Amino acid sequence: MITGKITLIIDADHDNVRLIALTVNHLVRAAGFSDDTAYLMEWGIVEAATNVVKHAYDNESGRSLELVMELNQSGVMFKMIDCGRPMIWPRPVILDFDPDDILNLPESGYGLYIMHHVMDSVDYTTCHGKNMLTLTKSLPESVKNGKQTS
Amino acid sequence: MELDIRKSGETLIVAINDSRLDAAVAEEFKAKLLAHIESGEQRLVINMKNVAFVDSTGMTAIVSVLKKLVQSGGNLAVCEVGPRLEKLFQITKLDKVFNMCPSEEDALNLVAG
Repeated sequence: MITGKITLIIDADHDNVRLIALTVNHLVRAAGFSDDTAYLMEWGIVEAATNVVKHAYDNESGRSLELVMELNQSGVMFKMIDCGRPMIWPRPVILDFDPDDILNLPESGYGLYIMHHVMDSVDYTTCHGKNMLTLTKSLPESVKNGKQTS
Repeated sequence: MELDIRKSGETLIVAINDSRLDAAVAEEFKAKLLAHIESGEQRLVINMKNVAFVDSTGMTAIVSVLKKLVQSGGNLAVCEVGPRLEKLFQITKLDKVFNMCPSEEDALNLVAG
């Protein structure tokens, strides 16, 4: 099990989100999370980073996105920082649609729902032009006690 | 993005050859499929055998394609979705929206039905 802190800074575009995704997946597995949990956490981080590229920066090139990842004995904390348009926060986290009503299916709004589903906590602050999304995920007690991965 | 597009009878089969259907490629994917629907295709099978990861942008691209097909009286099935990917569809409840088939043959039979 590894611990430590790493900061990743990328040009905020969708191709580079893949770099963050693969790095997160690798590091959280090394920190003791199972492959399945790492896969879901990768999904949550992709949704968070994609939100920044699409909504905070409107896909504008030349903007940067920073991800601070802190791995410790109890789990992992991610801080995703951007300087784009802030989100309205708090906002409702619901995914409510009629699966039979195809023509009215939502085509947005899944990202935040996914983040909440795969992480233990999701929080957001904005201050002096900097927006920070904080996501946490705890290791199960069995892993903290050195028994297994999960 | 790499798509293998072929016909089986009146059904267009689109096999995604990339391992990721995410925001980096979703617009291109959607545009290509919508163009086929606009040119008259009504039965569509998306084979996801090679896809390991789909984000919400990729999922909503498939939703857009489904809407377009339904508007034109067509039908869509998604097939060969791996267990991890299936979990993502379940979490977003889109497994209840798409016709999910274990094999391409099942998907062909379903859209022809």
